[in-house]
Amino acid sequence: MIKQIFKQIWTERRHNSWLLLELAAVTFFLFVMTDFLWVKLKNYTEPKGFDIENTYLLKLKTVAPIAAHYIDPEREGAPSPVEELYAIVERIRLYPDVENLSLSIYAPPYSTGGYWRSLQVDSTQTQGIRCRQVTPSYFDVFRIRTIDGHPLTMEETGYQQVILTKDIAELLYGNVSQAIGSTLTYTENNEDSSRVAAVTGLLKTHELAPYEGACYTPLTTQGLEGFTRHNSITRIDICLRIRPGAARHFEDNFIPDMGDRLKENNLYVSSVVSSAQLRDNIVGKILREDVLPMTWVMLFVLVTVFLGVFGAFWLRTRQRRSDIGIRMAMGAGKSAIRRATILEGLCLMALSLPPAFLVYLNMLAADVLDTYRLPFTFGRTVIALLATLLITSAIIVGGIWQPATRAASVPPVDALRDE
Amino acid sequence: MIKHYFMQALATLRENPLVSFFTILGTALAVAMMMALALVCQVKTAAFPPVSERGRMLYVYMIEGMNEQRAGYRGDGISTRLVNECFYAMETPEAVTAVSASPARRQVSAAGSRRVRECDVRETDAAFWRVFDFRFLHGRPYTDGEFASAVQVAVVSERVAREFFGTTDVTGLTIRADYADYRIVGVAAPVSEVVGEAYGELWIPWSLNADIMGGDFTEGIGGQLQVTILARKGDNLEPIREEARRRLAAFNAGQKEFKANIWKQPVGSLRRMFYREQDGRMQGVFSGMLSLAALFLFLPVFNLSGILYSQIQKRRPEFGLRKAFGATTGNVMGQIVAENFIVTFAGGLIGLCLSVLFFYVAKDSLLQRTDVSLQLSMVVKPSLFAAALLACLAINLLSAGLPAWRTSRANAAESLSNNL
Repeated sequence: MIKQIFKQIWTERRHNSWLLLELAAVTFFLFVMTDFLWVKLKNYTEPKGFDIENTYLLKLKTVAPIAAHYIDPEREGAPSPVEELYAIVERIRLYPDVENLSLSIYAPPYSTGGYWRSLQVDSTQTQGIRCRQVTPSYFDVFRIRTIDGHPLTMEETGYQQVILTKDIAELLYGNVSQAIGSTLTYTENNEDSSRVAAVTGLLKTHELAPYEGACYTPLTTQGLEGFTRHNSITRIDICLRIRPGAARHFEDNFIPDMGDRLKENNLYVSSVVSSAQLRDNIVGKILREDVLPMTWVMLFVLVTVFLGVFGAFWLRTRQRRSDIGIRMAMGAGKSAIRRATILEGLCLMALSLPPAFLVYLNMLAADVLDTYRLPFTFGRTVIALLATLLITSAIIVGGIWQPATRAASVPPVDALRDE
Repeated sequence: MIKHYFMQALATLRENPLVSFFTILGTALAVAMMMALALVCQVKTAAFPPVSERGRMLYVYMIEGMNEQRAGYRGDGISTRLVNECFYAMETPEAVTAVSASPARRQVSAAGSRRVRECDVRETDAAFWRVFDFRFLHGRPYTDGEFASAVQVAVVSERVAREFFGTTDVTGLTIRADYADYRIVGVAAPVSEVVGEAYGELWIPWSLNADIMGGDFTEGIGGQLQVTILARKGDNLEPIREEARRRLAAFNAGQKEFKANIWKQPVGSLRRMFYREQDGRMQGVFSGMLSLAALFLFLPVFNLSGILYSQIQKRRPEFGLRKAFGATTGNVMGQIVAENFIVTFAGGLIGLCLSVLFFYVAKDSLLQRTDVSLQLSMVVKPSLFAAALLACLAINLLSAGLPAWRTSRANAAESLSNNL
């Protein structure tokens, strides 16, 4: 039966070539599409390693010279920026809704900045790892835990300690338990050795990013002063965790309630942004601007293909009235005719699939598709293949059903009389 | 004749409701796709206050300053010096304005209000108010004199006035932005975020901003401003481009190391939408979605012609008869295309409605802005209907043309014998 169908497809190759071309293009498109959506879905559902509920980021700014009460920073006896920052931070701690507070540089979730350093243990070196300076409370604010789910501890003082993520610890030491207590150096400065104080679980910068190794070092007053000598103090992030249930009124009331207590000389807190908002700026934007349009286009293409398959087979069954009549006269039942028509469509699809799949595989192998967020694995191609197969089969069966039923309902006598 | 075609088209539609449904669906889809694209362009380039004169506007929004080793600055901010020497000095246009390249977030508060939030502050010159026709509810724009002597004045949008003062007539009151006080001189109707060149919630003179006044990376080329030029009514735009190029060349002649480059700018609003700098050149960049959509635009048309072909084949005896009685190939073809146009038109109308609906649902991702408040006048415009009609005509000719041509050429005797 299959052989006969292929023979028929070959005989009508002129008609079929257009349809095949369209099917191949669409199948290829579906491969890329399902793959794209799968990568996004996979990334999105992976545990991200931190908890942003009830957390806020405070943005710091310094006033311009035209502002009221501007103080010339060069004047004699002016407090250092770090002292100003600490004064503000102490007042924020007293705000009743605040549960915990941390200071950091390039560290809050969804922040994309950072500076990269390469770590070294004996002869093993890592690539550039994002280094984040945080105060110890940072891990409590964002509920970042060790791999067994315990809170992380870091000594308040003690410059020479680091906290690594699980992937980096395993890369450098083989396993996590070996890593804790061991020392490492930085490739650019071999003198400066640090002790691994703890290891966190896997972390990512945002939901749609892959897991990324990070190295946390304690942010001390000394470190802050060093940083602000060359950088603006406004690049320090203040992160808050507020008491559960306080979120509803916190965002609107915090700045008005605090008033001038959020300002110390020229430094002040200009806004309070929820982590959910920061998340929306990155993840929401990707969903709105990449994923959603892709889904629209995919829907459009699916309806179109449905239309194409329907049209092609509508025409085809009309043209084949007489040979359907002959086959029915020879004893083929209605369901056999319908099955044969649908099978023909599926065979056409099967023909269009391999070239599209090959192109897709090549694109994966050549990193044209996203292999950064999800590696090129056997499982990934199987998922794309299955999804595409399922969608195209459904579309083809759906599109052919009506023409096939019509073909099968032709009275053999009428069909033969046409002949 | 038209009535006859109409009846015929209606009869064909009735004959097989399912096929008719798919034909109309196919048309509607194709039209909806094209119209959604047209709507994006239309909304982004629509002329309405404060950009009623968009047809006369030219933009300079990217610049590079490179030395011979191709090192230097490339970005969307122009320095004050370059603006002064090249653009403010221009004589051909009616007005030239320089504004901060993007709105800055500043903490805004007012005495007597508990409300504190960051607002989008746009820093402008006084010419800004002559180039863009903001509707003022109260007060006036700030003047050239106020700009030149850096007086702390501001124009606020109606929404900000209501939010911080509870009323719109707030001229003479003081508003605080980043701890600096500004006297409100005017209240303007709010402007949508899609109007990137003028958008803001609060407008203040950039002569107050030391960073903008002093911004000059790469020998006074890079800075923080972008330029909008308003041509005189009825003028050709080419002389303005000419003058801009001439002045830039003069500017570059005085440069020691870094030369400024503005590519093909100043450009009009439609080009501004698609033109981005890429690899050191200005190029039309279409977002991935738009190019994909355009690519798949022809699929429905192609599929429609398959359905139409089978519809038309059925009527071969009829066309054979007409030809036997003296109708030419052209007559028959005209009839098929005309009949089909009626169906296409119906599909087109549905498609148009669909596209408007779709646009409202998906406007965030289509415009790539989240809080765009669409006014009906931005969407429903005569040009949209003209575009839809044009799209229908194109679909009609593309999908019905080939089947009609093949059928109408057939020999009359053969058609009459109905050998399919």
